[in-house]
Parts: sequence; C-alpha cells; structure tokens
Amino acid sequence: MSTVIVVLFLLSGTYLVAVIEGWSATGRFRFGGPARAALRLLGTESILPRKPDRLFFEAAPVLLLTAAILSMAIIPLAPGVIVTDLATGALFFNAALAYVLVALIMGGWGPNGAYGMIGGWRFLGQLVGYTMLVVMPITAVAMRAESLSTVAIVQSQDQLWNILYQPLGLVLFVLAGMAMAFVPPFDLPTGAGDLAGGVEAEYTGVRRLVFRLGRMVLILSVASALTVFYLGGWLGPILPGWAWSAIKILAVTAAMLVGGRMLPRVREAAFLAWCWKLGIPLALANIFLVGVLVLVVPL
Amino acid sequence: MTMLGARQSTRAGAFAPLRRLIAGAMARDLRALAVPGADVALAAELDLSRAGLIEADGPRQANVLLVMFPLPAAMLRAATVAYAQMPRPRAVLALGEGEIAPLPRADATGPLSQEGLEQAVAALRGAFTTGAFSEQVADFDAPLLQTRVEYTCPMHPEIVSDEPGKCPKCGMFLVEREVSDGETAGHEHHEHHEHHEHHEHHETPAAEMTQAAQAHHPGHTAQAGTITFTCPMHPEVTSDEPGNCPKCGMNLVPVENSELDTHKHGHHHDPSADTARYTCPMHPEVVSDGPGNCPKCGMNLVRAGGADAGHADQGQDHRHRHGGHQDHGAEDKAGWLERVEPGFMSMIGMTEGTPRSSDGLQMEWIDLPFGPIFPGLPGGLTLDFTLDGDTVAGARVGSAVAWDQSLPHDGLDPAAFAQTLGAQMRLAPVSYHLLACRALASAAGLARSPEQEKSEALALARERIADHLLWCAQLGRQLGLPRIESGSALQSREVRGAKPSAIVALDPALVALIARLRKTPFLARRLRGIGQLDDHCVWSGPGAADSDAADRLAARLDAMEADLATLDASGDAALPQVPDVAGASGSGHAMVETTRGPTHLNLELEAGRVTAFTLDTPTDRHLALVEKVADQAELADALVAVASLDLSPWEMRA
Repeated sequence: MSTVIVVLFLLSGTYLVAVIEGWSATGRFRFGGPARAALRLLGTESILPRKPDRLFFEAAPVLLLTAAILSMAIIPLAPGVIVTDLATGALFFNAALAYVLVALIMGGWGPNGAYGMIGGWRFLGQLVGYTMLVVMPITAVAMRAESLSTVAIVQSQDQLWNILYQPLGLVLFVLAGMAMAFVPPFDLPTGAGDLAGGVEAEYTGVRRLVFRLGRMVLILSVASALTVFYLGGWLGPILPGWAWSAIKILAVTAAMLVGGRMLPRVREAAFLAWCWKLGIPLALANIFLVGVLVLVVPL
Repeated sequence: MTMLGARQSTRAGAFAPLRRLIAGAMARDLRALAVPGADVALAAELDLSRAGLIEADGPRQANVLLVMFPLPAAMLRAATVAYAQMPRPRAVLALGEGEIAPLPRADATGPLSQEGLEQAVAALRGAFTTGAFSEQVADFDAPLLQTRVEYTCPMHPEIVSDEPGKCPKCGMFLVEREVSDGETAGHEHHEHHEHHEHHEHHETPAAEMTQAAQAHHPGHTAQAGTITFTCPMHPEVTSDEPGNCPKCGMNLVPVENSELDTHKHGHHHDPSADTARYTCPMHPEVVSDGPGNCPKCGMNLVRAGGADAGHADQGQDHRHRHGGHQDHGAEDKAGWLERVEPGFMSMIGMTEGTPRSSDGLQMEWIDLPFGPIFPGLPGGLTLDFTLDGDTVAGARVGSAVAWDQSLPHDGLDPAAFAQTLGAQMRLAPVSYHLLACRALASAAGLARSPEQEKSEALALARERIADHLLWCAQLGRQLGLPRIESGSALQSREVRGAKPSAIVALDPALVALIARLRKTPFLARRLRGIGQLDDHCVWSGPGAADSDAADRLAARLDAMEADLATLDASGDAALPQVPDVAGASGSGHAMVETTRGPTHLNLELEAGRVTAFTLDTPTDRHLALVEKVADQAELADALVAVASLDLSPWEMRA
C-alpha cells in the first residue's frame, strides 16, 4: 500500500516540480506547460546521432531516471509510508545518486558530440566538489539520530528540527544537493549559454522526455531528502503527516529552483575551490559542533 | 495506436485522436531557434515569448526555425544545416523579405514586426494542428547537405576517384573520404549522415555541433600550421613549394608543420637520433647512451634509436586519413616497443602526434565551433575554439553575416548608401545611418543645424541605451540569469522605438534594472579576472584599456546612466535625414560614438555619388583581442570573455 502511495506521490510530485521549474525559468506559472511539452516530445522524432555509442546513448536517460527513482525508496512521507526502511537509508540515498554521474557521463559520451562530452566530464569535476558535502552533513544528521535509518532520523527531530539544530549542515547540504541535481546555478553539464544544452543537447523525442523526467525526479528526490534530514519530514501540527511532507518538499523545491536562478552559473574552478577550501572545513566543524551538542544537550 | 506509431507517423498513418492531441500540444508548445540570433530579434523589437514562442537552446530542441531576413548566403547555409538538425515535425517561419533557398519554403511568413510575428505564429499553429503528421511531407534534402564518398591517394591528394582502386601514380590503394557537394568554406559543412529510425535520411548536426564528431579524430585537429612539401622517401628533402624530389624524382607531398610539432620534436627526439639511444617507456625525457634502468621508475630502458624515420609519412597521414582513425602514429612507434616488450602499451606511442598542452601533457585537442547560431553569442558570430580538455588552446573568430564592402562600379546614390549601411548593421542601424549622413554632409561641405544635431544626439543616445540593454540580455542568457535576461530584453525593446518623453517615463524601470545588475550577488565576482586586457591592447569599448569583464560591465552601466541623464524629454529623436548632396564632390569624414566604441567613416563623393568609402569599426579593431582573452581560459570563461568584448558580426568585413 505504501508503495502505491509513494508512486502516486512520485507522479504528482514530478509534475509539480516540472511546473515550478518552468516558472523559475520563464517567470510564468503555467500548469499545463509540462503536459504540453511532454506530449510534444512524444510526437517528435527521436533522432539517433551518427556514429553513436548506442548502448551509452540509450542507457543514459533510463539510468538517470532509475537512479533518481531508487533514491526515493528511502524517503518516508508519513509514519509507515515508505517503500523500504533500510537500516542504512541515509547512505543508500547517496549510493543511488552516485549513478547520476554515470548517467551523465554516458549521456555525454554516447552521442559522439563535443558539447555533450564536455558537459559529462564537467559533471565529473562537479562531483569531486559536491560529493563530500553530501556525505558529511548526512554524517552529522545520523550522529544525532544515532541511526542511518531515515525514519529514525525524522523521529530524532521530534523536539527540534535539524534546520535549527545544525543550520550549517543544512546550508552545505542544500548547495551540494543542488549541485548533485545540477540545477542552476550549478547546471554546468547542461548550461544553455556555454554548451547549448550540453549533455542534453543531442537528445530529442522520447529519449529527451525520459531524460527530463529523470531530472525532475532527481530534483524531487533531493528536495525530499532535505525535508527528511533537516525539516523534520512528516512532523508538524494539525495537518496529517503526508500533507506536511508534501508542503515542505514543494517549498524546498521552489526555493531551490527559484533561488538558484538569481545567481550566475558558477565557474567550475570556483565551485571546486569553494567546496574544498571552505565547504569541507565547515562540514568538519559542523560534525564537531553537532558531536558536542549531542553530548551536552540531550534534545 | 501506439506511441511508437505516433512518432513514426511523420510519414504515414491515420490522424487518430491521440495524434490529434499531440499535434494540438505541439501547436501550443513552439520552440523557436532564431536565425541569426535572439539579439537580432530584440533589435527588431520582437518579443518572442509574447508571440507564444519559447527560445530553444539549440536546433535539437527546436521545432520552429525563425528566420529574420535579409540574410547573407553564409548565414542561410548555416540555417539550413540547423534546420536539417531539427527533429520533425518542424517548420520554417520567415519574417521579412529575402531569398530563402536553400531552406525549404516557409510554412508561415510575415513582415519583420511584432504583429507580423504574431500572425505568422497563429498561421504556424494551424499548420501544426492540421499538418504535423501529414502524409504529404516532402523530404528535405538540400544539395548543401548531401555528402558523397570519394577516394583519394594518401600520397597524391590530386588523385580523386569515385570508385575505390589504386593510384595511377604510385599504385597505392585509394582511401575513402567524405565530402559535401555544397561545400565551400567554413566549418558548418563538416558533414555527417544520421540514421533516422524508420527510414534513411541524410542529415547534418547543428551548425554549432557540426564538428562534434571530430572530437574523436585526433589527427587533424589543432595544428594550424604552415604546409611544407617533402619527399615520401627522403624526409630530409623539404620545400615550400610542390615539385619533385631532387634525389628520386618522386612528387613531393604536403606536410602540415605546426610550431608545436617542431617544438615537440626538438624536445624529446635527439637530432642525432640515428645513433642508438635508450629511453624509459614511461619517462621519455630520460635518455641514456647505454642500456640500464630508469632513474625515476626503475624500469629497463629500451632502445629508441632510429625511431624518427617515419615522421614525414605520418605528416601525410594527418592530412588524408579522415576516417575514424584512432591509431595513426602509434603503429611505427609502438612497433619497436612491441618487439622489446610484447603487449606493452606505450605512452609514447599512444600520444605520439598529439599536441602538447601548456602544462606539458599530451592530449587530444578538439576543434569546436560556436556559432553562428549559438545561444550565448551574438547571432552570426562564429567562434572556433581549439580545446585542450576544456581549456581553450586556440581561438579563431569570424562572421557568417559579414559585409562585402564593395560598391558598384559607378558608385552609389547617397540615400541608397546610407540605407545600405544602416540595414547591414542590424544591431545599431540608427548609429550607422547617422554616420553616413554626417559623412555625406561633411563631403558636400554642408553645415548641420543645431536642432538637427540635437535630435540626432537624442536618437543616438536612445539607441546606445537599447544596445547596452541588448548586451545585458545576452549576458543574462549566457550566465543563466533569466530575470536579468527578460528584464533587459523588455527594456531594450521599449527604449529602441520610444520617444524621449516615453523613455523618461521608463526611467525608473531602467534605473531599477541597472541597480539590479549591480547588485546581483556574485555577478561581478563571476566576471572578475575574465577577459583581462592590458594597457597595450587597442580597446575603445566601455571601460579602460586594462579592464576585465567585470569592469566593462560596470563601465557599461555607468555609460547607460550617463546617456539617460542626457535625454531631454522635450526634444524629439528624429531619424537623421540624408542630406541633399546633388552634384557635390569632395571627401568627408565622420565619427559616431556607438556602444562598442567610436566608428569612423571616410567617403569620397563624386558628382553626387558615393564612389569610395572606408569604414573603421570598433569590431575591426577589437577582433585581435579574441585570441588574447580566450587563450588558456576555461571554455565558459572564454565565452564570457568574448561576449564581454561585444563584437558585432555585422561590422566585420567579408
């Protein structure tokens, strides 16, 4: 039953993410936009570039979608509404999304085009920057919960949400999560202004539709993880748990997508420098602070 | 009906309900690729999104090709390649008057105005709704796009045959290569067939993606060097001209020599390489006269003597093997290692012939064209980068909309001259029209009245503001700042045609926009250090001679504010009138300050006709800076740096 609910959530959530994404890009809130775009892509021919690496070209969109959906499996939407409450849930989230990199490199390499290839390798550089900043804040979250289970993590925030308990970790995780979902300003692999679509440049028709779908589920997944790790998941007064989850996830999505459009696309070198020179020391400080708090303040 | 059926059915099939639904969705979700570019649409005061078009990032994402006439042939060829790239169903929307071939007949046309665009889009919607899956769709197959395979001799490039066979001169097997029938010059003609899933159809990748496949052809990249001729048998014989070898009488063959190549050879091949030398397979810099171990890694040194013998031949291979050759250069070099250590993959062998980066690593370089239709650059500008990884190792700039400045034999009527000049410079028509008028008046010795001067200054200031805003819109697009992009685009359109009194009404919005550009977090930081010029550079645009992109943005905003301050609400910005110079002769000079810098025009007037002129545009002066600002920059930084120079492809000479 909970799987069905999660699937329904996934479908409606993805659609809303697409609506919000269109709003952030064009400034217009068009509820029917994603549906029209999807229908258009269904009717458009799906071009196979010349001399492609066929396996990589075909597999990349599907892999992106699969990885993103997999990572949703450990997101609790309400008490008991979770596909699988893994004991290593928080780690699984990161493990599943490691395939985003694989998908993008495959998608960049597959069409035998330079824009895509550069986009794919750029994302590898981006991964070197963000990956520690995904794991290290999760470590601090798990320290407080004394568990990697996402349900336990939500329950640990019963008294005080992590957004207040470890705000530094939240900031780092938001930025790293945005980089992982390659939303602006971290959209280096697909940047329109410098790579004309990058990894997505050669995908048309149904393949592009799957790619876009994977991207939307990925954004939804990152927003859901953020809600679970820092915003107390389903916790909240009056409304039922699932409603709180939905509200928080959509708010986080909107904040990420709209906020990201206010900033210019980061420079690759600057991103790496910030991540390693500033981000990782801060993440270590965050772990230390949370460790002290866990010992001193039994909350 | 299946989804697959729906996709296939650009060719055949019934118009079933789902198909109707999809066609309806397509008609309401039009993605346009603007030719020559979104900047030209802006300069023509077109608002694509109000007309219901969404700007596409590239031809693969577009289903409407928006062509804004008039366009030169080179731009039309690029547009044709882009059209062939677009997935079907696709349509051409033509605005303005002009010859459309080799593009197919336009599906909707209109005058180059917002009303024209909106009516044409409405017509296009109808065409998509009823015809998206029509059975009467003709294949698009311009001669430009057709490629054929021909065969040529690796030693004698002049031997070309339609069939495989042997070279009549040397008896070697001819090798295959692909050529385009419509081929002239320029990068958009590197041809590729594409396989459409349900029927064979020849297509080329998008203008800006055309050389993508070269990414995997190491040999013929990067090395823009001189061509010398050498004997295939006697590599020591070299000549600057074709001819015969003095030793054996064979035809000399061309070899491309780049400075890099020479440098590299000097670097790790001893000139007296015929004597036996021992070197480490991993550390080519370790060279010893006798056998032994590498001091760096302890491996056995291997004999390297005489390995240089095959160099001239490899040079030829560079030029002629255009296939999927991953391995050239490697065979000879790897050969001797194979004998020493069977199965060993030699770094020397594998990287032989590839150019060397500034950090000393040998990598495959790729040539990647940006433009003439590229979202982050002015439409018509072509930028060819040689990329070493994602670092720019070489940059060449050109224009697909360049202007042939020759005049008819008997000169040109002054009015026609001013009109031509204004029409060519599509981003700054008023400035150039004014320039022509002033130069004509100067040649004929006519005085200009103060009222006239004043209204012209107003028109000029207005266009400068609009042009600065247009640049800001492009910056927003390039850096992924949609609010800056749409805000600047909106103001640019509003200002361009507005009366000074109306601009004063717009003033608060403009001031707010300028403030937003100043305050956008990280924007100045993002631009800092990019496109750094120095005091020796010839720079006449906004900012000082030693500015970087951030300084130039700041200077641009200041210039906009200054122009806003000079606008006088009471004045009227009239388009300059061509002075009556009937019968006058003489030479004249005029200067106009445009957003890109001062533009000078010298012209000769003979009996009332313009017989000669020289135009000195800021873009001409700044072209040489492209290489400087792009060199060794990361790709995105290089594009930002080039954009910060604000080159206008329309000002370039053909």
